[in-house]
Amino acid sequence: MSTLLSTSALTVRFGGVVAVDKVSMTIEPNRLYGLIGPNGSGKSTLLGAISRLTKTTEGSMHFRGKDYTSIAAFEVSRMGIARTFQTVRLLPSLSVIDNVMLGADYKYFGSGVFKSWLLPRWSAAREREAYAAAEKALARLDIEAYTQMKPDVLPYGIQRRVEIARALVSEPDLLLLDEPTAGMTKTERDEIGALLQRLSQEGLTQILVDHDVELVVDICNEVYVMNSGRIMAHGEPAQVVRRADVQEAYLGKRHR
Amino acid sequence: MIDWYAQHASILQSSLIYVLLAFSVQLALRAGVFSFAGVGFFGLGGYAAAILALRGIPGPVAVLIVTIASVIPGYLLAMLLARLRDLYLGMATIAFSLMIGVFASNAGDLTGGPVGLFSIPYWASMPTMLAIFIVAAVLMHRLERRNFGRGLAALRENQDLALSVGIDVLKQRKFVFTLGTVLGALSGSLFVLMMTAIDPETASFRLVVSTLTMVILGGVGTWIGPVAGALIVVWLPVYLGPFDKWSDAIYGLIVVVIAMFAPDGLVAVVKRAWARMRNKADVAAAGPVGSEKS
Repeated sequence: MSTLLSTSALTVRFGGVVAVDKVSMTIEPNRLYGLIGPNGSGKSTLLGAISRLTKTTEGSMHFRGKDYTSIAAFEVSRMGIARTFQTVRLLPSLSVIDNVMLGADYKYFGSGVFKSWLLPRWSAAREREAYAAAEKALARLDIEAYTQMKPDVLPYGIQRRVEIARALVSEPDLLLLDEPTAGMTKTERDEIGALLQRLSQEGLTQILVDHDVELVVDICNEVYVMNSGRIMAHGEPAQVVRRADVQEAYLGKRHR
Repeated sequence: MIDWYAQHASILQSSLIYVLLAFSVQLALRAGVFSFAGVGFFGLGGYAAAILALRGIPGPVAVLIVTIASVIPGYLLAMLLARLRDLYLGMATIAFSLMIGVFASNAGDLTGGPVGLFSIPYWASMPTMLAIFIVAAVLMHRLERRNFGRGLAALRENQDLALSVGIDVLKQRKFVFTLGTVLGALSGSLFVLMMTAIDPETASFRLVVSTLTMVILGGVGTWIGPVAGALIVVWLPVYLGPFDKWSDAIYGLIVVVIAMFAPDGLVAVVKRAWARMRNKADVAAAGPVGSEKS
């Protein structure tokens, strides 16, 4: 099978700071990747670059063999890359189902403005399809009970799941998860871990950024370790985290 | 009743006209586009309609031409300004609105200079205005629902999120901006044909303030807000008339009180009160609290 996503010497600079430094990585389909590293090592910035929300300074990115280094950010999800955010980004004015449908709107309504505005029947039909898809996504995450609620009254763990549902509803080929278990209890983390593993078995390619190394080792097929903007290690999770330099990068301060 | 209508016909018509103008600003604000360009286009559309009408073009035709043609300058301005954000966009569009007045003062015979244009052939038709209002309200309502409602909420609340779900943020901003200018031009052209006169003060800073007052009083959330706001701003002074020299102060006080106690607009207050009443009814029907599994 051909490579899904690859970056080559990808660099992100903020003024004088190099947040991502010549990162080259290859993402093969149907695999669950972990992206770990100490705070400030550039993991989130790398996800930002891959989703084009963060401008890259140098290097290139290919998705399904096509160079997409300079396309507009909104085209990334249309291409098949969905993402969640480190801080939950749900719209408080919308219900849970509407928040999830937001992720489906492009797929069902397209990008045209006038059709959905001026043809109420057409848009009602698309709305039903999007609603059904969103319901399915909520069910996939076991949160269909919250369909009509406003997100800000929900527990944090549920909000996180709504975020994942919104990313899943467009049926992406690649899902970028930016610390989906941050702030969760151990039980909640295990549940999310099991969920991601299940999605992976269903054939969804994912890149998971997380602080919970144990979780990453448990569920990921492959792991990239970042430190100071660079990829310092890459390989089979259980082996990589045992490497002395990786332990040093993670725990160095505590050991000194 | 008929007497009352005859006395108030022009105020009723003004209300409908101002609702259209308030729509232009509310739509933009709801999408997070801080644009007052609609007010400038109220002046621009007003002058354009006046010039056409003075050259013998029938009123309804003039309104139609102005409204359709306003898409072009509206979109050009959108391309120029849509990248500006927040207060900067607000300032730029207010400046644009004031420039219309400056331009009108200095354009000689075309705009009548500082005196403006008058003896414009009168055209105002209540049925037509009502029809325009209904169509506009329906179209505004549709922009609050389904993918538009969600998309504009994302545009307003979180642009990175909007981009991440495939919304072309810049295109949507331009769309909303342009639609605001078209509504402004439509409203201005109707206004001028009803008043039969226009001068450079028409699209002044005062109009920016009163339009914003309408939107804030009524609320930005739905199209009903600007309707309520425009009705208050147009009708309140009418009823405050008997208070003579105190009317401005009372008007100001009422506006301040509403703004203080209903910062998200009167429509939201009514909605909350309605929801509370319904909740009470539901609780009463459902029996004691806690009897349900949560």
